[in-house]
Amino acid sequence: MGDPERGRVLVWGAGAARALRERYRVSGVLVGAPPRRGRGRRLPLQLLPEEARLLAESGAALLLHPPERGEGPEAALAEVGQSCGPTPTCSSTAPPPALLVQLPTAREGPPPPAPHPPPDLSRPTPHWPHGGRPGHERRYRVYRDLWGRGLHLTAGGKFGGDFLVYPGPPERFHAAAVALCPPPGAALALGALVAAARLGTHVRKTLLLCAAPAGGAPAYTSLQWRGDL
Amino acid sequence: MEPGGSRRLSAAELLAARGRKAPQRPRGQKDFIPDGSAEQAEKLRLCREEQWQLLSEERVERLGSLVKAEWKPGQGIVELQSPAGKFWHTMGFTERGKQCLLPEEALYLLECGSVQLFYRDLPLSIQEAYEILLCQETMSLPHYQVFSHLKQLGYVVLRFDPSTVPSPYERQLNLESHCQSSGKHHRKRRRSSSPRSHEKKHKVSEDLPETEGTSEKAGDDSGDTSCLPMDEEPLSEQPKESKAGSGEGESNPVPFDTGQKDSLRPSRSWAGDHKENSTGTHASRWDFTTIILPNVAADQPCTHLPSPDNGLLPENVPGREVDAACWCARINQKQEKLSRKEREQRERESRYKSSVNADWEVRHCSSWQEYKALLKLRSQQRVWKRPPHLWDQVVTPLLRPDEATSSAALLQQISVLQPSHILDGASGLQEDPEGMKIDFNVYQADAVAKFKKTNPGKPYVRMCVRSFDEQIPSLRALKQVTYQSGDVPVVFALVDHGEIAFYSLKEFKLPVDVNH
Repeated sequence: MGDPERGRVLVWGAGAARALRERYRVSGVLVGAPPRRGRGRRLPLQLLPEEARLLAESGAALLLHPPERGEGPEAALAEVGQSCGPTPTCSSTAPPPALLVQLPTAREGPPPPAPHPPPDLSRPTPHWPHGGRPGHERRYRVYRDLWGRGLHLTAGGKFGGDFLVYPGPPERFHAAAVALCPPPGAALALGALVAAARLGTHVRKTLLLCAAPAGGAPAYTSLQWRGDL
Repeated sequence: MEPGGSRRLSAAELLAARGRKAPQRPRGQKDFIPDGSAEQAEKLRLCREEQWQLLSEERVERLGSLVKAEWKPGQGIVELQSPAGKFWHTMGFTERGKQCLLPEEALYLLECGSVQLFYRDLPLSIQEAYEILLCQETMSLPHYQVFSHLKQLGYVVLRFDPSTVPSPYERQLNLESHCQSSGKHHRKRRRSSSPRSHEKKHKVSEDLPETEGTSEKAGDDSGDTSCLPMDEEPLSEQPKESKAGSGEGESNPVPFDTGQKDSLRPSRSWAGDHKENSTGTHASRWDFTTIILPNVAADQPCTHLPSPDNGLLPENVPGREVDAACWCARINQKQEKLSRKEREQRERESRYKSSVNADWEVRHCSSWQEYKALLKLRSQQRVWKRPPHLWDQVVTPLLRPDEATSSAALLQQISVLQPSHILDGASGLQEDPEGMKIDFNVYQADAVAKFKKTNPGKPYVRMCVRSFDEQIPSLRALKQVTYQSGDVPVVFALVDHGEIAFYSLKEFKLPVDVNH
């Protein structure tokens, strides 16, 4: 389960992250720092707003808000503290330094209650500012369509696009295309188009221009560099 | 959906965690197309297994190696309850005698397993720490992600403080290195949303012996104020550093402390200036009405040089008077012998080059003014016929032949765009409170051994954290940020929902002087 905080969605449970990747084809990015002797990244897993919305709207996940700083968490924390603090020592002396302590990653105890009814993610709220933004809505429709075809998608900011499209799990496959969702109606500046195509060519990926209007069928145009012509 | 809370590790699991080693990651080549083969499926399975084993590991540390720290929401900082460890070398600050950490530093150390964070006497999990510590305007999740990324790479990252950037004038004087050596540079507290007033920064460009009186907040560890009082120093010493710092560039005191003889004329004027030294302005000490330097130039040659005063000469050197008239007659008489190469070069050049002095009109000029007047007259007299097929058409050349003096001048005449530098006009821009802010100073990883928190020196780079949701910064904003950073390059860290990309502007100059 995730916690949106000013529009950022983080997944804290290892099991949940695994299920997202294996069952739901949602990759996300690991953003946590490793412990001292470790390498690579750890939990939490950060999701794109489009990924989070897809999961929430298809019922696969619940978006939860972090508890407000007030009376609520105190009570919750106090309850938690009594039941599961570090190994309790009955004596008044300090616990021995060799005692092993766990630094938990995710919050312990029961999760906060889910809001009823489930919020409409197409409306903006303080916790979910993406709702209603034209850019987000456009990208979400494209994401939903491409995901529905069985592809894996991740963030594409590094390659100048909106998404990276993978034929299989990103751990084992190279991205096939960079998907860009330009605003409809307005003419696409040739310079911008050439720049986007060049970026894709440089990394040997196809550029995919996507349009998924609300009422109509999605349309895709792919651009590939042909060096032989 | 599985519950999201962390597993509570049993005692056996805790002990087992102690012997954990970092697993080797099999980094095979990635494939391009899924072909449904068993081989691919197996590789995928292995990769996933290993990844989940890593991710599901909980952090386990010995209590003795954990530093206890408490979050103080009122001040927005974390206070250490037990002494700091190795991280204190590059992170943290002292306040009112207590060791404290900024929220991003504390959160990073929690993730590393070096500190244990408490809030209201309860230990915080990492999720709770993320929620509680990262809700300030200046330190939100994207900022923390950039901080954490840089720290993992080994850099030392401190918060940016605009008042500690030396101004261009101070940089010109190289004041920074002087300030740090004299220990009078009191740094501002590194705190983001503190309600307290900030300390004033003392500029050493004023005269030195005056700043001891101001009261500073205690707690800054470099409390030594070893200043150089200028008026108390004996004049025989050279006050080198105060000279560099005060920027009075007039005649430096000439070292007269080697016990010169009193027959020296300048010593009289030196004694006269003795009193004026403390005011700072120095009159010239050489009295040229009494010192005579002989003029041996060709206009009024002084060929009779009297014997020098014995008092001025060293012991073993005798002096005598000289009549240089015979020498003057013999100057420039010897025939110059050129080598073969030089002769050939001269022969080649004589075809198209001619010496300026060979022109008798030039020899008649007795001053620069006359020469320039001659040149002007010649250029006006030159009659240059414009070829009609070039100049009488609708489209004419951009340059006349006499305007193309060098390739740089040529390019200048025909250029469409003028070169500009990012800092052009930047100093005159008004400060924009809503504009981009520099977030971090980043110091090199290999300088960690010499790094001093109280005197970090010039950063390697300054970081500005932005996200893809925001507009691309305008040129005005870029200029302001570059100007604010001084001579340290600025890098923009763009955070795209967890992925970070770094961008910076590089300056380049097109070559203009092309040599064939």
